[in-house]
Amino acid sequence: MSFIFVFLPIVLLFYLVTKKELHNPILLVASILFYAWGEPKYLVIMILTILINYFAAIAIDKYKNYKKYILGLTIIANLGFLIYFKYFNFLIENINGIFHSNIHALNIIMPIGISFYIFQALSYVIDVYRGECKVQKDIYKLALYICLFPQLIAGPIVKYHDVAEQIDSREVSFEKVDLGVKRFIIGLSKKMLIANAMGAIADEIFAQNPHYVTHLTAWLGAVTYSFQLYFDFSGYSDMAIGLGLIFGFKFMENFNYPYISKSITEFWRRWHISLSTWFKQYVYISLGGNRCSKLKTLRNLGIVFLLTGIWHGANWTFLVWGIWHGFFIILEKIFNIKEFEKREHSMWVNVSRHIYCIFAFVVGWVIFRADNIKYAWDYLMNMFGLLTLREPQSFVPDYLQITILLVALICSIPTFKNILNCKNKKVQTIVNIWLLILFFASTVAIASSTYNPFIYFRF
Amino acid sequence: MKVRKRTILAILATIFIVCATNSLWLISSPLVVDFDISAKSSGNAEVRLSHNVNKIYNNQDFSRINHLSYSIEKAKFHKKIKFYFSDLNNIFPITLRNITLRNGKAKLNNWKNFKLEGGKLEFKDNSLIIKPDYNFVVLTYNEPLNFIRTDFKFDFYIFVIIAVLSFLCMYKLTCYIADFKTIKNQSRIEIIFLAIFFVMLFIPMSKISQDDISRNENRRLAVWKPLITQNGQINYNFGKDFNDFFNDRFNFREKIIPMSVQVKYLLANDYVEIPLGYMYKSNGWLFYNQNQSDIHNSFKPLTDDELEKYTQNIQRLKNYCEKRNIKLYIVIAPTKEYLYREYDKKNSSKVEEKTKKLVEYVKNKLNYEIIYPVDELSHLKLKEYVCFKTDHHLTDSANFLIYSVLMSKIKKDFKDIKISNLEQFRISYNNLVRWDGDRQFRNGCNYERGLLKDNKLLKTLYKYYDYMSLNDINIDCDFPHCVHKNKNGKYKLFLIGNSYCENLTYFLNTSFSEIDKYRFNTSQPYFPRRKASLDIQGYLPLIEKQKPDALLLILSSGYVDRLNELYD
Repeated sequence: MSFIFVFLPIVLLFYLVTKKELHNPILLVASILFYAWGEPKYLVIMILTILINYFAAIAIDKYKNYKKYILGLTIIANLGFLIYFKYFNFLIENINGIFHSNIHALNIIMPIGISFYIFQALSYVIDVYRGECKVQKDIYKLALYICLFPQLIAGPIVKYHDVAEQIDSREVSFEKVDLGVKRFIIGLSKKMLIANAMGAIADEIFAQNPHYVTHLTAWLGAVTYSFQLYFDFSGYSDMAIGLGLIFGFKFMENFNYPYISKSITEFWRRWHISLSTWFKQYVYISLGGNRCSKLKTLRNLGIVFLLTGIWHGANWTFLVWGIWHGFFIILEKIFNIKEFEKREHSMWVNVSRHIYCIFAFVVGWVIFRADNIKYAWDYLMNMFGLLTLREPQSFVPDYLQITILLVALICSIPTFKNILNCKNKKVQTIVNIWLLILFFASTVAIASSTYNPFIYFRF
Repeated sequence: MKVRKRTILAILATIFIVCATNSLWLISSPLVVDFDISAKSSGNAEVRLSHNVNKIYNNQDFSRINHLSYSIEKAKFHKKIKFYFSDLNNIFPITLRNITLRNGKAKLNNWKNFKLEGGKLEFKDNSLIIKPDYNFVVLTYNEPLNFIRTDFKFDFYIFVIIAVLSFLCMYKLTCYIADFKTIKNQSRIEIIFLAIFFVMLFIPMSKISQDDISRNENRRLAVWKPLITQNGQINYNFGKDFNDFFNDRFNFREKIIPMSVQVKYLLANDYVEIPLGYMYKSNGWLFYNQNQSDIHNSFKPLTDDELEKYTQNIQRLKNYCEKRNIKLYIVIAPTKEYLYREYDKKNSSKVEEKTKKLVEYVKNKLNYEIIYPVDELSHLKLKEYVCFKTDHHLTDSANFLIYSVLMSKIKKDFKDIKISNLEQFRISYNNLVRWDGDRQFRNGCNYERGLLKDNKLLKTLYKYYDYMSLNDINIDCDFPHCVHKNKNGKYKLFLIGNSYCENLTYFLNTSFSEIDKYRFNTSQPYFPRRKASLDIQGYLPLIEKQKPDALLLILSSGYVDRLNELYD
């Protein structure tokens, strides 16, 4: 509530009425404030990340003979933060499990957004190492790139070479502000009105033991969770892209209707594009990409998806989820799906390909959502009718939930894809009114979440 | 845009700002309000003029003060004056006299213009007598206070500063907008759209509520905690504190939230989630969320270790009482979530495993019987309501039944104790909930914390039991401690309980000469220890002092785990 209705209007007010020269300082101060707002002590980690990468890039630029070693050290330092804060306790847990040791876990709280800004910082030093962009001598500009608040917490992961010029100079225009506001409202509505409603159903179903829910309910849980994830994540990305536009930036799109994909390869061209391109550009290509033997290419793909899985969280479920997707990607590579995609197919073939893809990612999301592998297995067994049920309960959604489910379905396919760019005045008017209604409805939903009644006397 | 046009626009905007900030340069003198007050209660007193918020006299003992004086700042546009009395510790009458304004220059003596919300109003001997029904009353003087002229002071310097600065800013802004690169090519539709969006963005922070409490939420609102504390230290939680503060106080909060709940309620076909819990529209039954652990605890399994610890604690307390010749009784009331589980379509298979296991174990191991009248209540519910549909507490009928079961056990220890029968109560029917605490107890109240307004929900009638010999009874409350006295009783009872003890106390009061009742689950930093804990050791010195004949613990089933902490 306070981000959208206090922080944002104040920053926008300052940003839009001041001169261009002040835009970067305002954004930098706002970004630091934004980060410190949640947990001030983790600002130190971010500042350290900025300093390490700033000096490392300068050193790479200056000592070209040693640049490989400097890059290696920088990557170790960056990933060191990530491993410590995100995976340390997971590693300890597994070491204890394997060696029956009794190493105590540490009380580590993961700094918010660390997975995103560490990857952005890495993107900068690797770009400098590869000579794809010039070293940034102005530390404030580098700091702005790493901690820019619109995409700091949930992406998209902006690559340095994509925004280097925009940080130096960008235009704030009426069109950009207008389009940015619209994208922001769409993102907010996706999150507040669709993702949260789908999440409420999914949470209720996934909270049950898989033995106690009917097959249909298990499928409903999997489908609603798939929608929750898409609308939640793409909603945040839309908000980030929208805010970026208001501030004059043009960030890359992060989602492109992934649920209409006909293969998992296509799915990863449409889902979390900034992450998949990051792994492609900085890991896959570094490993040799597809310019090596077929076996090595498949190995590279496997590594990339293993890393993609573990990037999402410190749990075996994420790793298995990565392997699950990697398996399909490798399978599709072996069967040369790209060539297959180029050909024209009958409707039935296309429908079958859709069903195959939906099956693969929905099963994947169940693994992703489950707390542990055992739960994921039982849940999947239930979905496919292979689990013995004990007095199973059904979840019956109400009219509103069914309506939102239908809206989610319609909005996950490109029904209204170009509606924001429509030049017809009547359509524009309807769209604008509709967007304002959505903004109001989202505001009401946010406001409602602040209601916190107390059951007994509290005052 | 030409310079002349820009100047005119800037002047118009300046005039608007100067008018909007009139309170800064056109300062009205404070309005002094005085009145005499007498009452046997204590609570908060506040005077408001239109929307002006003033100093509140918190936790005043009205029996010790006889006069209150308020100085209402910026008191212009005298419309209505309101007197608020809140958090009253009991419902004794409050008498007001000599209500004067502006240091006695004007008097509010036209009694007919006074109106009271939350109680009854009487006029006697030039005094206003307020008889509260609840712990919160609002006295309004309905006639506009036109007879008092507002005193204004014009601050010329502030006026000039605001006017000049506004003009400079507005001229700059007008130029900026005029020069905005592509705005002239944009359609009005987009300009209007953006203008509305930005206005909407600023609305929530345009007015911050100054209230201390939220009646709907039954809690205090978060307060402002600055970045630099009074000790000069940095508040590292400032971000979180600010979020709490803003979330509790943004503009239109009190309107938006009920509206959204109501819309959700109207759109739902049957099951509807509301604050705190969920409700079935078809049957009108409200149940609490799983995260209300104090209600849902009873459905969790009880481990052997817990069972052993609970039993040891009970044994220890029993020994303590036996040494002092005090009889110990423990009542565990089943929860509504269990008694009416068949109406909770989503969770109808719940079993109060914890309580059942404990009651059986204690009976077998200690040969001690905990009173857990689940079968009796299940039988009674076939004839009448034993729980309120829109609240989690037991009705008068259920409490009378528990009273009867408990007293038949007490009778074995105290042969000459009097047990009240049905004839001693006046039976009536009411649609309101007789819930929770003493302060709002006797008249019942409309359960609004779910924020639902549907007359259908108020159609259910519950049986009310009111003791007919009320003259024999005297209640003195200083929440969470209350003393109930009955001149016809013989024995003294020391009672510790959660909210389920409140209603039952009124029945027990008909049998005991004195009941010292302590409510342990209040989140206030009250005696004896941390909130909602049942630390019996804090009560032992009081028991020693009061020398009761019997000690009674009353818990609801969800609170059974408090037996774990009796001696922690």
